[in-house]
Formats: sequence, C-alpha cells, structure tokens
Amino acid sequence: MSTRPIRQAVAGTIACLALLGAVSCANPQTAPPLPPAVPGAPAAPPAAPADAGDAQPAVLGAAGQGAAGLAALGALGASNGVGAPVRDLGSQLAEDGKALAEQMNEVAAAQGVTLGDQPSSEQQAMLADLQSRSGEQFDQAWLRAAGEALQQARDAANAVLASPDATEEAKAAARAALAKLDALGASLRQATASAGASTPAQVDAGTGGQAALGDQALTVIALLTAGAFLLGGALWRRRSI
Amino acid sequence: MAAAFDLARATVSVSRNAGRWQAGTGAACLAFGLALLGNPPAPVELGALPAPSTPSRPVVTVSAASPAGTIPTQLELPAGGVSAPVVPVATGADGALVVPDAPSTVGWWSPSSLAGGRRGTTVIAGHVDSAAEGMGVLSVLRRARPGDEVVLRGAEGREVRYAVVAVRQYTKAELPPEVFSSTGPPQLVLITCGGRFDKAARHYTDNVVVHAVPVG
Repeated sequence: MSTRPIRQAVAGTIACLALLGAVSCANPQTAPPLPPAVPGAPAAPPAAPADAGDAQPAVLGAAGQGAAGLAALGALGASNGVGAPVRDLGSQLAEDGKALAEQMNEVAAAQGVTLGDQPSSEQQAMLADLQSRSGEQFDQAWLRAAGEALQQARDAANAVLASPDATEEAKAAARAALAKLDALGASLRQATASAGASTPAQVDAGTGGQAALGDQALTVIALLTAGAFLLGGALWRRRSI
Repeated sequence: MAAAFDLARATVSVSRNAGRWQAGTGAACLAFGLALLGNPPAPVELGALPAPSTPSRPVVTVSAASPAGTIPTQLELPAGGVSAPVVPVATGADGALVVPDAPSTVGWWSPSSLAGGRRGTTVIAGHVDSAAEGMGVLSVLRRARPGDEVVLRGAEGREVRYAVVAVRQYTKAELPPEVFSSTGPPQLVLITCGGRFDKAARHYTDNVVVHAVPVG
C-alpha cells in the first residue's frame, strides 16, 4: 500500500490542531466550545467574556497536550510497528507532533503561559495499552488510536466551519485541512481493514440452532409429551367404551 | 333391571366426559408446546448501560498509576459454571468479527482494549452453539443478570474482575458500533447470538450483549 497519501494527510491533522490554537487565540472572547484535538484531550471550555483570561490558557493547554500526545503516539508507532503503514505514519506523526508542540509553546510563552509537555491522563492510558502489546496486536490497536485522532481532528475542523465566530481565513484553513484529513481517512481505513482492526459490521456466533429452544427446552418437551399421552389416552378410552 | 341400565348409562356418560376433558387438555398441551417451539423468548433488556464518555466529562476514572491491561487468556462466568480459554481474533475480510469455531473457546477482539486497562471496551465473543459441536459456553449469557461476576485472567496470571450491569438483545443489523468503542471508561462486553434461528441460513437473527464494569 502506498503511504504517500498518509504522509500528506498527516499534515492535515497537524494543521487542524494548529488551526484550533489559532482560532482560540485570535478570538478569546468569542471562541466556540472546541472538541478535544486528540483522544482524551479535555474539551476546551466555552470562553465567556468574564473568564476569558482563564479560558485561554486552558485552550492552549489542551492544544499543547494534544500535540504532546500525537508526538508520543507517533514515536510509539515508529518504534514498535510491524507494518509499513504504522511505521511510516508513526514517524510523520512524531515529527509533526513535536514541531507543533514547540510551536504551541512559543505561542503560550508569548502570552505568559507555560505549557506542560506531558500527554493527558487519557492519552497516557492509551499509550500504556499500546505498550503492553506487540506484533500484529500492536498495529491493530495503534491504527485504531490513529483513527480516533483523525476523527477528533475532523470534528474540530467541522466545529470551526460551523462557528459563526470563526474568520474566513480560519474557515478556509479548516476546509483545506478537511480535504487532507479525508485523504488520510481513506488510507487509514484501508490499513485498518488490512490489519483486521475495522469495527465489525456483524457478529455471527451460532450455527446449530440448539440455543433457540434454550431455556424453554424442558418445558416444550414436557408439554408435547403430556399432550401426546393425554390425547392417546382419550382415543383409547373412546374405543373401549 | 332399570337401575342397572341407568348405572351403566351414567358410567358411560362419566367416562365420555373424562375422555373429552383428557382430549381437550392434551390438545392444549400440544398447542402450547408447539407455540413455544415457534416463538423464541422475548428479547432481553436488563439493567442500565454504562454511561458513555462525553467531551465535558473526564473519561479516565482509574488512577494513571494503575497497571496497564493484560491480554486475556481465560474467561470465567461463575454463575453459569463457565470457564473457557480466550484466543485473540480480528475482523474478517467480510467485515464480520471472526469467532472461534469451537464453541468451547471464546475470542478476544484484539483491536479492543486490554483486560484491566484504564480505558475503552474489552470485547469478547463466542458461539452460542454450533451445528458440529452443540451448545457453546456463551449460551449462558441469556441468563446473565446484573450483579453476576465475570473474571478475565491474563497470561501472567493477573485476574481482572467485572460485574454485569446490563444485558441487551439487538437484531444483528442494529448492533451498536459503540460496543466496540476504544475510548471511554473501561468496560467488558460479551457478545453471542440469540433470538430466532434461521434454519435455511443457519444463523440467528439477534445478538445478545452483556455489559460489565470493573470491580475491586
């Protein structure tokens, strides 16, 4: 499978994260509630005018944690992945996540905010799960984690598009990011399906039919047996009269 | 002579009445038994589903210092007297979850969360029955009740205990994708088949899903 579309579209994910930071920082008084940028990143609270000063560090913090989580997810995929799509996408995520984290730190520092460099507890839980796996099982879980990150980024971009407060520039960036994310989505779905990690469409778990009778089996057998005896007895009695 | 005739007639009448009663009862038993054969039990809906995670609510409820999960290798359902080996399974090329052929073995959908992990759903599936090997170990799921204990053991001997909180039955086409969610609070989902059996297709119409949450 070609991994070029994946590499191209990873930039879309990163662009979305950057976009979130840009929109939030540009309009701290009117920014809409933002969904988490990556799995588990706390949602940015709505920035009410009265507490805009408190909300902005929270938004920056969420974006910074999101970037740290992406970098950690990427590094794990690059080092532990057994399939080429996981290793390739992992390397790209690690590089871009690190660059974004640095960028977010600069933005935050300019506003007198210090960002932590650790993933959120939810992201740490995801990483701990991945670190307990190896081989094919690692790739399966990693691809699903990347899929979650992609979905979160898509949700974020769509939230920007739906926001009446977002600038035209921000909306154009969101549209461009969505196009790239769609390309990533297609590649990621193909890799996920190849790894047997797609969400199952159905579960067929019974071919005998014995359980259909299940708990009622004894009742049914007793009723049929009693019915047959009673009818047989009635016929015999009628003949003998 | 007349008295003897009356007695004989009365005896025949009593006997005929008893015969009618016997035939009626027999027919009712047969009809009820056949009706039960044609109509499987009503769909199961017990307990309350675990609350899904929302963006405004923290989804990790277990301390970050708690151990990472373990790959499950053994399933126990003490109330049903079940102890079954667990093997990793994946999604097949046709999009269906690949369930182990042997109904005495259950499958851990390996893209799902580890047992005892700090997030997401651990998915276990197994046959309710098999044409070749009879009833499956997960046939007990229909009788599961909130509060029942479920135990998953890992290869290193670690034991993770869960308590059943809800049992649901869905038509297969309506099995919610959320049961395979890898985000949100940790939970265990056990899946098998239920409902009516289509003899032509050799498939059941429904899935029985048991939701359990970690305890202890």
